Amino acid sequence: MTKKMKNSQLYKGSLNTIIMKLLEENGKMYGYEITQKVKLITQGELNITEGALYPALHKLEAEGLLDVEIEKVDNRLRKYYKLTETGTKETVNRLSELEDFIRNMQSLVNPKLEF
Amino acid sequence: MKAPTLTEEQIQFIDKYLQKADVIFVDIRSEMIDHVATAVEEKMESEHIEFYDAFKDFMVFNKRELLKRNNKNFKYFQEAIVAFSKTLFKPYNLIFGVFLILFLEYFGDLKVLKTINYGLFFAILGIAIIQIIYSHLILRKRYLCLENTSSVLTAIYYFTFLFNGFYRNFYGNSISIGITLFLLFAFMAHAVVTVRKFRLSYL
Repeated sequence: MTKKMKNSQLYKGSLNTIIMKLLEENGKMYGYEITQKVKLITQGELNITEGALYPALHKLEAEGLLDVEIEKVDNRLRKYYKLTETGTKETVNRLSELEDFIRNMQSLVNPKLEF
Repeated sequence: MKAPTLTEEQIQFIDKYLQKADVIFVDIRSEMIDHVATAVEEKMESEHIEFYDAFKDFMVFNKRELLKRNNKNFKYFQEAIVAFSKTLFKPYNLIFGVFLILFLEYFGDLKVLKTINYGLFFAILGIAIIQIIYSHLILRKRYLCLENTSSVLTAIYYFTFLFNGFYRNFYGNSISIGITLFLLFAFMAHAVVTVRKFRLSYL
């Protein structure tokens, strides 16, 4: 079953961190590439919609966490996003926050798994 | 095997389609074009179908989501202010701003402040006219990144109008004039960086 990001508040809160993590791993990426990468990693479970992705990318750009590069590729312009220096540092913080969140949720939802 | 590449005519077709769907800003549209074109190319390759069928299939399921980002004026304004605040709160700008306010506090008598207020009004008006000429007469296209800087200038205009008054009836003080000058200088630095980035990316 495909979970559309727009339908899930749980995923929505983590969208920016997911984008930043992908950019940290892949250097620079364009919008469509990000959607496909997420689909591939989650084996089609998670589908980031255009309506969620682009506002998130533009917000991160306005906040100075992402920088853009525009290149002409196959008869059209392609906008690549990459992390700025501040963005790279912020990714570490946000990932750590997300890991704490996942750990806490795990403890609350499934306490038996805790040792 | 590499996915088929859309021809210039097919890209123009997508461009015209998005223009008709009221995607007015060139920079927003060009990102959408690349998204649609890449998806269509992949569809053509994986499903062995022609351009128009692939395009139609993609749009049926994705048009609503794709156009969600379009014409969200309040969101655009918020992003413009957030981006401007990044320049505004840079340490050297803040130091300059504090210095400016202190300078006016000690040396700015009413006559000086009135003159600066006059100058501010016409400086804002001048910058706005330059922006209009550049966008409407030179570029003749609308770019969100440029219009966002205009929104910031409009916000500064309202700030000065509210705290300093109109150019003929000044009711501000050294602090309000100092803050407006600081905002205007920061705006100019922000506008120069934005236009330089824009020219590198789109011209």
